Amino acid sequence: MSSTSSIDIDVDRRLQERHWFISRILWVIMLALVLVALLGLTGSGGALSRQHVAAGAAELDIPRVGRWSATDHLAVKVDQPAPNGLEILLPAKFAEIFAVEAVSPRPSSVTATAEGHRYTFDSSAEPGQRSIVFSIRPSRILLSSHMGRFEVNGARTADLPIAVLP
Amino acid sequence: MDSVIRGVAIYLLLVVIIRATGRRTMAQATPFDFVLLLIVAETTQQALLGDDFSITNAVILIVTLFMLDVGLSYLKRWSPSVSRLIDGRPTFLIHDGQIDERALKKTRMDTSDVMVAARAQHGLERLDQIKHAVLENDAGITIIPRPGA
Repeated sequence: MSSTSSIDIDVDRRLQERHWFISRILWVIMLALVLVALLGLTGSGGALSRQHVAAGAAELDIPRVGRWSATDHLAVKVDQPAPNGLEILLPAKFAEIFAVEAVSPRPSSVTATAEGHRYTFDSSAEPGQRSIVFSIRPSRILLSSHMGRFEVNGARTADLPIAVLP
Repeated sequence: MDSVIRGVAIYLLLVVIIRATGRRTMAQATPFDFVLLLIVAETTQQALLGDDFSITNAVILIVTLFMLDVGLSYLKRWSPSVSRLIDGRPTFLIHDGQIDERALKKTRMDTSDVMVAARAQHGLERLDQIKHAVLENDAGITIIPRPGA
């Protein structure tokens, strides 16, 4: 214990100055984390948290960043009549990581193929937009990784990257 | 295994954040700080438990947290440098009657915080009656009055 003139106290000004300096750095890191979260790069809302891609006449809204064990959704909108029904393929890697907890509307059939899970939906011939929503939940943590190509009625998306944060 | 990893991660994260945001958070708790602590506690609970509310999970988490606490206290006892790192050291806010403006600024305090402690501990009325004011490791302010004050 170091004595400081009239008082016996264990002060360490150098350590304290270093602590204040490191604290400020940590504050900047925390602020950066908040900004990154507001942008959506930590998932759950924000401009960059989702990716909108086209597959032929369909538009897919897919998470770019998910959170482990947190529910999310994947939406498919098709803006053309589909008298023969709609067929959506979730790539195998996606199906391996994300558990599909519910699909609205219910598919008429689901087939497990080597490429992934193929969902078939009945659809009317009337014009107008059809919307299908998959409730999904990531079952494990994943660094940004390409999931493969989603497919809607034979039209494919690009190979999309998705990350799952702890 | 997940429960143990969650417990360790959240515990260490909280130690770092509380240490980084300063001792003011703990001692000079205003009603706003109290609300903050309540929210942090609730958020932490959800992060720790996830959607597993089983007794097994609770027992594993409780045991993990207590073991961490015991382990950290032994680590601090064995290694003074770890102790300094985790607990810090006392800081003079007023030394021999001289106000350390830099220390006050860096600890996000002002002389009114010091006077609160001075009034509470010794019934002092003025700042010049204080010889030393020390911000302790436990986040409290200790006041040593001038002789005859």
